[in-house]
Amino acid sequence: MMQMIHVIHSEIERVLTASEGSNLLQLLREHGVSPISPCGGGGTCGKCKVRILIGTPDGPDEAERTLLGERAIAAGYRLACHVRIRGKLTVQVDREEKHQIITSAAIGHLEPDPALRKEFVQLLPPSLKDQRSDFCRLKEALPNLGFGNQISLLRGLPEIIRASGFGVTALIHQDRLIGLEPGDTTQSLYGVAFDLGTTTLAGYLVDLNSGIVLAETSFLNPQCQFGADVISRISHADSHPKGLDNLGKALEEGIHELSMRLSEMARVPLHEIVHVVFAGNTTMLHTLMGVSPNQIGAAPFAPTFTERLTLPASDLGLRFNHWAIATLLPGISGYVGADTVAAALAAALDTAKEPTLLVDLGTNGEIAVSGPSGMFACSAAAGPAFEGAGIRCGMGSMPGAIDSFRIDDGPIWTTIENADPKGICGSGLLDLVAELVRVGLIDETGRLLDCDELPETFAYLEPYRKEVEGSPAFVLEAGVFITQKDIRQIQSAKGAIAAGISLLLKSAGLDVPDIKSIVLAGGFGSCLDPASACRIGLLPPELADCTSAIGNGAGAGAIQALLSNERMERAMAISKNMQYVELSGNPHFNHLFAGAMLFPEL
Amino acid sequence: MSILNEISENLQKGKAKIVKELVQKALDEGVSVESILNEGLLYGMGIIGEKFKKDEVYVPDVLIAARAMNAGSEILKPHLAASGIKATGKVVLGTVAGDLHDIGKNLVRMMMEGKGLEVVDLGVDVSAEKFVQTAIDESAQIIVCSALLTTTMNEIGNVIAEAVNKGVREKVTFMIGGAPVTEVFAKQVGADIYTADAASAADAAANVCAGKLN
Repeated sequence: MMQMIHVIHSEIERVLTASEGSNLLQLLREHGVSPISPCGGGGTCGKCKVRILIGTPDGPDEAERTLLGERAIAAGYRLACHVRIRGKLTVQVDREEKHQIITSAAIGHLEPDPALRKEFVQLLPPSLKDQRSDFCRLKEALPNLGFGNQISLLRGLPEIIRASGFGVTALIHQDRLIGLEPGDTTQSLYGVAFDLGTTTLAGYLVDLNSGIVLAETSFLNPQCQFGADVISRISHADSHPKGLDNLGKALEEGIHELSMRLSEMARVPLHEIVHVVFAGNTTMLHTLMGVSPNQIGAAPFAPTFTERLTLPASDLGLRFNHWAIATLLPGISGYVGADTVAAALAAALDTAKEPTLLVDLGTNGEIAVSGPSGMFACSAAAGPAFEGAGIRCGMGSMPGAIDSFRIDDGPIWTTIENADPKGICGSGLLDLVAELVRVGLIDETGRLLDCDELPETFAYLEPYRKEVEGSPAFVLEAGVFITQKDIRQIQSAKGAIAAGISLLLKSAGLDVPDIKSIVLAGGFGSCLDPASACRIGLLPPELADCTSAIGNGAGAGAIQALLSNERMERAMAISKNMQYVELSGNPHFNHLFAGAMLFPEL
Repeated sequence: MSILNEISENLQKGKAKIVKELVQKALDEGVSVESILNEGLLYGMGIIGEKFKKDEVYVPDVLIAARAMNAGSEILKPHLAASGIKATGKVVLGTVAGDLHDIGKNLVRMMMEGKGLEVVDLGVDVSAEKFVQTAIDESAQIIVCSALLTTTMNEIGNVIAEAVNKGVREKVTFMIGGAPVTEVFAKQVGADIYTADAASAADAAANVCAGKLN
């Protein structure tokens, strides 16, 4: 039996049809109007809230009650993944606020020497005395070049060279002729660098002649509706017959949207873009290529490819120049991908004169180090705590998120866009825990103390220390608080990264004092306060003074590879020489992890 | 404070060396092996378990308490056989095939040992066949499967299917857990018991064994 489901999303009302008993989240996903779903519809995260305005579906069951809370249920909220369609429904999906995204990628000054270049040649037209073929003339004008797809080149050749009096512009990629344009189009040489992040897609439109980044933009990866992390995406591909297709299509749509925006911002038509370079983690690049990422999701985690790939952009469904090529930067392993290689390039890890640590805290947590014995990298899954998932009042970096916190004669905080506080985002959580540790309200084991366990000097914190939903909590405002359980989640997350750093340094034969510089990359890495990160032991406390942030390191590296052959070759060398350190199964990891969960004593 | 209380208190603080000394001292003073085990070691571990359930203590605290408990148990071992004290039940435990996570599983083992259960820990990346064959060989009452990735969760179904294949499904209780695992999933896959944390798992396992061995 079919039911009419009215969905109000972004202030637009749609009417969808669904079969009785089908799943609401799935329906909303199919029509592109789904709420966020960090756990990918698994029923565990409690974030896919929708409001039932009309209708009485079954439930909610106990699990849903626990995740949502009675107040939300009384207000008509349900978790879309838990709702089975029964009878007519009118559902409101909260408008997704724009995430505050750190896109800027610092690339410094770089002399353009792009892998894809153009060269204008003026050919001699044929005559009765000189009846040599068009192809022969072309080859003579461009000696030492190999030739790309012969059929497409030859099919276009006769018209193209005659369209502009035998003057043609050759598109050359790594000493191969891959395209031709009539006349002299050498002034127009544009490329796009993409960073395909698990949560955020970022794009940069670059003038390959001048080396200037003409436009940059980013937005939420449309794959997010299938889960917040790579594991849930792989799970989706693995468990749904169209799963891989869904992921690929979502990515393609996102890339196309990004491209259109970049094109508009830079006033460069899409058909003038001739080279596209992709950085991204291994799972993202697999879904881009339509290659199953399933093997990455289970031990021994071997991916299907980590090599640099070069192919016609049209093969990926991209709509740029007819001859445009796409390059996927090389990665290292299932969990240390082309994004880490690109970030390492941007941080100049390969040419660092002193031991340098790179920490890319995005949805995943990749760590790389360079020292006298070479470059090493590992992946420490911190989980989504720093993105607000799994935290009672956690949220992404959106308006209303508390993003900084200090105790100075009392708690002081800021929110994104100065909006009313709705929750706490990663940088805010970090600060909050760090400050509570600093004043001693959280002890070194992570326990949130009662106020009477504190010295008199902190009596002003008493009003904030309450019991919420049966747990000890520190309440900033009504509805915005951190619980004992949240603190435990943060301990696990930061413990994983800290243990990863420890083990990685060990593998590289380095100790903490040897490190002269920490480079933070990734969205979270750029927003966090290094002092807070060091205070809670996320980063080695001894290195608080030598951390710097490079913004979107993967994006910056992709731009560099796009602009410069030399940088592209360096990326290749990094992927070849950087050694992957597998943390699971390492006998020292668990011990280090447990120890790293504690808060350092000051 | 009685010596058994002292053992419990020091175990909770993770003072392995002191626990060893106290256990030896208690034996020398003629305290029964059974009392030392139940009212000293397991009692202390039980308190840790309850606190862990409420997040009053966390993973590092459980690990160091367990270390202290093991230190104390080592001293008791030679005497346990003579005393005729039997384990309260036997459990086969592991993380499923394709999954290498083991901290959660280790916590489950420690909490279950804290209830006096004998745990055969098969480690990580354990095949369905190994789970079931070991349970048969060891005459275990319970098989505990841990899965930490949504991509490996479905392996649990394979382990249960293997038990059906080998004709032992009725004899063995299946307990499952791990971050992506839920009550709903447990029902779908045909597991008997789902628990959300190591301490609850230990409670449930102890109950199952008490029921089965009576």
